[in-house]
Amino acid sequence: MAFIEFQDVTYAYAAEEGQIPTPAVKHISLEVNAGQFIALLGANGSGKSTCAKLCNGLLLPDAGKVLVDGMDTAAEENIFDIRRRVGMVFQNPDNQIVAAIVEDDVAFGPENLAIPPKEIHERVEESLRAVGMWALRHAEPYKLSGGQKQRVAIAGALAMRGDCIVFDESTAMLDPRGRREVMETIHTLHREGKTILLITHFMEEALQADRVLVMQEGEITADGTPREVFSRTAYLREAGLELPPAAKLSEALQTVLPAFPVCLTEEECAAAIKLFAGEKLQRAPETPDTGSPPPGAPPLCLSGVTFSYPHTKSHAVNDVSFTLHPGELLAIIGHTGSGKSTLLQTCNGLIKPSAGTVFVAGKNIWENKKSPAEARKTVGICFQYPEYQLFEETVEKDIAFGPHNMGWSEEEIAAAVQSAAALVGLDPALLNESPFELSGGEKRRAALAGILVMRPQVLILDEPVAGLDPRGKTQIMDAIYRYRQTKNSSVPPAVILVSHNMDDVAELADRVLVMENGSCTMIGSPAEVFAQRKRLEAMGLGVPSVTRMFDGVGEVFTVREAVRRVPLRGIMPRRGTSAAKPQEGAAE
Amino acid sequence: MREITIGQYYSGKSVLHRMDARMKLALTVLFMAAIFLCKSFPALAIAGAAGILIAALSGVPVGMLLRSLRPILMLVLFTSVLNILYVQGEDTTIWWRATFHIGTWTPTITKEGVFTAIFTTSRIIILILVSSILTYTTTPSMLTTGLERLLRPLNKLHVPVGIFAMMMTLALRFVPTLIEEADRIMSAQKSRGANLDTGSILKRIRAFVPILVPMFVSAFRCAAELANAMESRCYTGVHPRTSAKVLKLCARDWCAFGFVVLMTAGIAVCGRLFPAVL
Repeated sequence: MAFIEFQDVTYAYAAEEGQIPTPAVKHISLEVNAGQFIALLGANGSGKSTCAKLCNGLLLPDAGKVLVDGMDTAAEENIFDIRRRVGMVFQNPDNQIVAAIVEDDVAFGPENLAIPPKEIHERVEESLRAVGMWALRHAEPYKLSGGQKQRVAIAGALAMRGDCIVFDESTAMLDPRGRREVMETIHTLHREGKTILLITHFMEEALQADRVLVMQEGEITADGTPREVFSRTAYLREAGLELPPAAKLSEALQTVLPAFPVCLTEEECAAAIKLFAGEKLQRAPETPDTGSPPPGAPPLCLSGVTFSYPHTKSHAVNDVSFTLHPGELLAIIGHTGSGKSTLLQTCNGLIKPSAGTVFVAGKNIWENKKSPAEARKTVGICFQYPEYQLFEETVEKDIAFGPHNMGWSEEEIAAAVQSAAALVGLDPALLNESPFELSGGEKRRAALAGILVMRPQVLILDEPVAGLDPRGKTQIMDAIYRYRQTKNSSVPPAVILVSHNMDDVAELADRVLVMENGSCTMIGSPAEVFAQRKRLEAMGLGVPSVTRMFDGVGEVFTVREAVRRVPLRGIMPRRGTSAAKPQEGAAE
Repeated sequence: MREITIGQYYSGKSVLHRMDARMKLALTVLFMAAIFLCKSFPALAIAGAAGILIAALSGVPVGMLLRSLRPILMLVLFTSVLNILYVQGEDTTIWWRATFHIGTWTPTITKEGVFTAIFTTSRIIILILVSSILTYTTTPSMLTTGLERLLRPLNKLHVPVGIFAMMMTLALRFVPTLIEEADRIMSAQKSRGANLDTGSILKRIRAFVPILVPMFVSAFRCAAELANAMESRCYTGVHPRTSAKVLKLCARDWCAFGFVVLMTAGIAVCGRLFPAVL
């Protein structure tokens, strides 16, 4: 018998008066067997989270039945047992930890189950050891990293000694290191026999599952092994998903090397590349040196900027200097806590450096008291999760907030709001809606429009696509691309992009700056920086997936580069190697 | 990352740190009551000596203890001045009489007035000292637990003690999170040119709307998500729960109990032997 069974389940959230509720989940039938590791994919709003909440009776079906080990979630008397056996880990690490001390939080579930204190202590220790957080049992959760907080949440679910854990986008808000920590924990639990239901937007995570389900508008439209589902390229695009990086690369290589096999995992792709390359790739063609910076005065320049928070000994930012050129895209990489956010806030005078100088458009912004306000007209910062700053009655008013503060005339503002909305691809009809009525992706774009509307010469983006689904990511990246093309002044705007996604960084950046412990440890072209693979990995950072897949063959950083270099350098399958063979070899 | 501390817990391993939170709470209340029983200087001296002994045992630096007195400094000064100038009493030893008059009143300082001022000031200082030693040596979450256990009998009167304790725990847990959120939103709005620091009062209140609205939205989102997380972990608010924290009274707790009871008895005896100051 299946452990969790959905029988023709339909669920609709309550609609406003006079509106017909549209079901979030429509006639779903599904069986999850004990011990399976299932990944559930789908665009935002496809009904994934609703499905998760139906699994443990947080939501009850309007029609149909959900059974957990044969128990109906709709029956009041079962709910305790169901929730004990199906644990949940949610998206936001901050909003699911109950107690102010780690071990107290893990004890919360068993306490609710009225377990005797002695056994609670055993369970707390066992669960915290299972997720590798025992050493931090006395820590205060707000001081932990995102990955650590999520592991505490997992321990909280484990302490109830259930059979299944549902992860509702639990890795979405984490940096790569945190995601790795959580994924490793999930694998350990799965090996120990737990049933896993993982909801995610990361295709590489879905690849690690036994079975992949795809949801589209409340219905399950694909169900199979990762290989079955991810081979349906056209279908995936239509469902608002993307291909895993290895599949993207192999698809691109097929355009120039038709015999190149379809690969899903990085290992397969790396093996196929080795086979096809035969020998090492030749050196990269010398790219014309763009050594001299583009014309125009640098819009932003930091010189020896240092800052530490009160009551702390170490510097949050330590002696950082760089010059941003007009039209340039500078990527900043470094893991959470490396000082990136603090550094960004010195750029427009939100934080006053204790030493060093910030020049905006050639002027020291702290020269007189008034100037940080001036700097904010030139330097716009789009913080992480910018949708959390929306506050006005309508989207239009919210976008106009900045220009109003800057004292623009009404006509100027109206025109600027229209063009900013167009830039981010926001439907003009939405301008009169409340920002709180928009979908997640639309909110993010509205918030970005609220920054772009001021036409900053320097646009700073702190992880602009964090937590979005693939479609939402593309829309934001497109908006940024369009903004860089705008010609509203003599020089194109410069962009600083903070990102954890090395593939994006390699693809987009002109230069990369690496932050570690508050210091800038490397700055240079993506090729220069990503060539230092060992150093980056020692810092807990990575290199682009393409670089990993070309390991031992040549230094390649982007898909585009791979396509350009591979055929031109005369790489052919070795004699006697048929097109089918590498696929077999790679699948092993 | 910034340090955000709630309360004023001073981490340490003293006897007081290791004491049962329930006993500490109960004895603090008893001690405070005893202070109010003090009517004479000898009684106050006993309480003061006991207070100093406890402070020494706690291992909390003197500077930190004095800092906890700072907020009440103005209050103490104000009441002292009033006491000195207004208290006349039966003992009419006059130490100083002004040569000027304010209306019909001639500012006069009597022995009684000075004594009263010293007496009340010392009382307030001991009171604050004792209560701040409690918060210096007990974590907020331990205080909550102790309070919950002490008040548990009220459950019989249908007072939802458990739910109140849970609310306190959650408040303690989420204050740092919400402070961080407020910081983030303020930075974001300032980046969009919001001016929060200048202008008339009315303007400044208006300027905070762009901070407050997102804060409320955020707090509600946080509450909704937290409710889901708590329900998923079988919290109902009505079912009986156990607690992982086992509070056990041991020898040191009973020693402390004996000590405070003896002190209270001493103060009571002083009440019979010496005339009251007030």
